[in-house]
Amino acid sequence: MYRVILLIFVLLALTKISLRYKDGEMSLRRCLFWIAFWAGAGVLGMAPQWSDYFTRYLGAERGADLFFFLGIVLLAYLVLTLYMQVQRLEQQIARLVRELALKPLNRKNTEEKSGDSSASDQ
Amino acid sequence: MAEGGDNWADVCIVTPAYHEAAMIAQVIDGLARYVSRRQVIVVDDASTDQTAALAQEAGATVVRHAVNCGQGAALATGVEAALRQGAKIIITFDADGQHDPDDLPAMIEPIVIGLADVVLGTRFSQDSQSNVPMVRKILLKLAVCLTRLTTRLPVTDAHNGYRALSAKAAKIIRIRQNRMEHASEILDEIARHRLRYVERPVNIRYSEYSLAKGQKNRAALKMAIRMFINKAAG
Repeated sequence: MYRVILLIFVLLALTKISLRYKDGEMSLRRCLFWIAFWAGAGVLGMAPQWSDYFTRYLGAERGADLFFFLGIVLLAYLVLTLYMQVQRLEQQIARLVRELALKPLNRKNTEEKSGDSSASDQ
Repeated sequence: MAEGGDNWADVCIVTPAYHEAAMIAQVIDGLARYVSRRQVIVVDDASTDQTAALAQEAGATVVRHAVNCGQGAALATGVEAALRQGAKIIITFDADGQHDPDDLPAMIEPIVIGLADVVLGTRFSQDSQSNVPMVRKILLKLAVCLTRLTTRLPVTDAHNGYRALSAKAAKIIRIRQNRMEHASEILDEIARHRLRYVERPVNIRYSEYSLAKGQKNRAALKMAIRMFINKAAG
């Protein structure tokens, strides 16, 4: 029974990912990554004995150990990606704030320069 | 205007400030012994006190951030403002009264005579009379070790806000880190672009006010972690 539920869930996820890619909301690279992820999760869910083979191949004792280890690696990657995105956003905000802050100064410099040039014209 | 003659006309002093209403006027008055007040650029990083108003009253050029972005961002704004004003030498100077204006002539001299593009203040020289608290000294020495490992620059003070930059160096150095990590980033940029730099002793005056306001020691650990992540992430 759980396999049926898992299969439905995986199919729904794959459909959503394909639609997001079709609508241009997701890049091809990201789309392929998530397809591979959900397809892999679906295959391992349907044939859990394959995970034992995979687990032994990678040197872990149990499938659960491998699952948690890979989960932690994935979470670390996601956290690092988010951190970098936040950094980029902060830098963009700072650039915007800078330009706004310097506008009055630019205006003042322009006024002073045109004041100087009209004085020299006289 | 005091010593240095014509050289001072090309100098802008950038002072990032956040909640420095208590000290800003005094700092500007001290700097005014060397440059005209308009040559002091105070970058108010969205303070909610009277920092900007008091700086304006004291005669400085004031630039205001609409939201708080951090000292690095404020410094980058001030340097950009100084370059747009045509400054040939840009000095970064703290707004909390720790820096001594009387060190200014020694800071600009290497740039004026063409010896260096960047002058870095150091509180760990024999000629410096800074009263650095012990725990802060240890943390700063660790920062120096880390900086020497990552940039290979043999600096003696990796986190001193007292610097002088030639216009050429100011245009080349890109400050992307908005918060306190900008200090290490500046050293990275000096190393990356192989800019000529020298160190000069400066006197840092730690007071109860500046220690209460300044970076807490535990914040230094957070900063070190962020620097490590930034380096790892590339």
